Amino acid sequence: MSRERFIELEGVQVRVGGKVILDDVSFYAEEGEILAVIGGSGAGKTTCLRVMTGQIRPVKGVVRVAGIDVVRNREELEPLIGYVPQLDETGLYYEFSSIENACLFARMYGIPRKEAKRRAKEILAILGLRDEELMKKPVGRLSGGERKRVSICVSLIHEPRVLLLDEPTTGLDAHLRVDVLNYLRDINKQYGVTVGIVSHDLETAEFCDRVAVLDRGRVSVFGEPRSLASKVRAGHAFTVSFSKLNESDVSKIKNVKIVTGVLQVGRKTLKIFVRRVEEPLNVLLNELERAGLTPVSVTSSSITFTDYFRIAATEKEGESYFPQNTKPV
Amino acid sequence: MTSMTGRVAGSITRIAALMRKEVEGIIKDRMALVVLILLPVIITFSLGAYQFRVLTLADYAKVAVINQDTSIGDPDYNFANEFFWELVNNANDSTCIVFLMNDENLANFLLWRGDIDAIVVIPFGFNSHLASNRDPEAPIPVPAYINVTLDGSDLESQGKVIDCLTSAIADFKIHFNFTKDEIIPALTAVMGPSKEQGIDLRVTVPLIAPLLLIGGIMILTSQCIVGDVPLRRLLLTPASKSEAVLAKVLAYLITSIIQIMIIMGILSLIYQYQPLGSYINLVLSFLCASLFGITLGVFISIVSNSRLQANQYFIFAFLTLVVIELAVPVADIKNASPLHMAREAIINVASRGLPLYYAMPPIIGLLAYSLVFLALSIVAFSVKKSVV
Repeated sequence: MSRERFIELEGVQVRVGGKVILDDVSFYAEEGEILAVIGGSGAGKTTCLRVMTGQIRPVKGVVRVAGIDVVRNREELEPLIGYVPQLDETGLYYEFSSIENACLFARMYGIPRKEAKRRAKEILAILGLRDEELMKKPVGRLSGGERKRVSICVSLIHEPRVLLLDEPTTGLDAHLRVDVLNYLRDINKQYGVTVGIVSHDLETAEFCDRVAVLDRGRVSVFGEPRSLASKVRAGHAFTVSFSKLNESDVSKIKNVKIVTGVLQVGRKTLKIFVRRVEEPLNVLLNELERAGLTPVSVTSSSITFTDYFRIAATEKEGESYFPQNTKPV
Repeated sequence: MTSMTGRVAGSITRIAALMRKEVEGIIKDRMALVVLILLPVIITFSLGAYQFRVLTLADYAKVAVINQDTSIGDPDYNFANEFFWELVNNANDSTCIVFLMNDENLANFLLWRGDIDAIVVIPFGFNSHLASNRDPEAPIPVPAYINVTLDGSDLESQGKVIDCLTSAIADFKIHFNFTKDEIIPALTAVMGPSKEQGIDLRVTVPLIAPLLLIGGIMILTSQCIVGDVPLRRLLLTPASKSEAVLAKVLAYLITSIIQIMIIMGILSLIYQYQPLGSYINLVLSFLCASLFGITLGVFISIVSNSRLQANQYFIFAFLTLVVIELAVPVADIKNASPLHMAREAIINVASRGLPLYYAMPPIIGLLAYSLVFLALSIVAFSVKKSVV
């Protein structure tokens, strides 16, 4: 049985100064899900978020967040959403501590100071900030990752039903990016809050239940990352590194019988997709040897939404990753 | 040599490009253009205003003449009356209005309230003394004193009254062939600086304090919204824009109370300054001046798109207020200026010692300005797009 749609955009069009920024944008997330809105610069991601928070009114279409018609009843939405801006300095007072920031925002919702402190400590603990000293430090003296977590805490202080985040992983180290996304998953489970993440980072989609890809103001892909990944015509994937790799080597690999697709993931590293076969690793290594190629390392990989997206993007540009003579099973 | 020339040429090219960028930036910034054009217009206007001004009643110093002389003097002339008419004849050239009054108490009351600027009392004996001087046998002149009481809190009107008095005495002496110091004005400035206080605090405090209070608080408030970046995020909560504006105004009002306490402390403890009226009324006047500075600053902060722009608008607004107060010799314009109102309010309660009831007009004026800027701030902020 499907749950209530908690974030929903339907046929949304946004114009700014006569220019169409979003055109016929439709996607949704059900209650308790995590939605990723992915796109490059100028794709309209932030505009989407501003539409969802009622900061921008669309000229066409319907926007519903937490069951509220955002265009008509924006004020009703305010207590139901939490918003984490891209830049922490736009959402936090750097001269105040984490707790002071949380208390300030809590007071806007009429939450008593004592209760706000309790909630802030609870949320910060889930976000991995348990050190009391850190909580009392001015936010300006915290690291980027710590600040991001404080920003998330501030947005959750009033127990919103929907949490919207603008590029939450931008500017963070690789391990911190994963940490922040894991924390969000924890928050999502713990509080049952529906999460909407806007990001240019494809990997973010891997942590989400649904993903909408925006391309020049339009939704080019929408669905569940797992089911989209399953559309990649392959049974297995391997990350293979070579001591040297050139164009003709890649062509040779593409022409190997069981190979259904190849993605370059490093200067001398490829992600190779193979058909569903018995003992795929052995078969692949034999085939590569027959083609005169000896890998330095081979790791079994999962087939992800990122793979699906990159393959789809390459096909769109005209070059198919799937060799003509070896159609995937 | 060639490489030197090349370097200079390169430097000139870069300077030219940067200069062009600056000029284009200014041209694109419409508000900067307004400041650029309006400021010299206001200053130039103020410098030339005296030449082209149309005088109104507010520009004239009002001089009440009380003729108490019933002494017998020259059978052909009543010198007291003649002197009054000399004052009347010279009044216009000195930007004064001279009129007769009978009641000295009423005249003092009006002077205290600031409704008139000077009282000239022609005392008993003026006629007889002057008549005795016309006797060719008289050995030494017997001076005829006139008692002049000036509003010590208004230096501008003092100048006008003294000019009128000096011209009238000169004309009078020529008219009646007096050649020595037969008429001596005894000048007393009331509500001015007391001798004990040494420096002219009762004149300087009403001038400097509003400048400090309005300018000091405006520097801060002109940055308070444009510089408060997380405020945009706060506005996504149930907090409204009008609440944000009111909160800022109230917060800075509290700050200004501290500022006032510091100013009062320095004045009282270091300079032994004592207002003629109550301290509470003086603090209230200071607060009204601060409130105006706060609301104008908040308004500037809302209409500015960057901190730099807010600084430019602050300088423009503050300079305009100062120029009007110090350089515009047109009383009606000056009287409508909030800085002048603040000065008047402080003069009324601190230098004249007027009770609040009489000191209210400038205070009401300041409050009205504050309310207007508060309303404008709320409207401007509500229509200003703010996205985070």
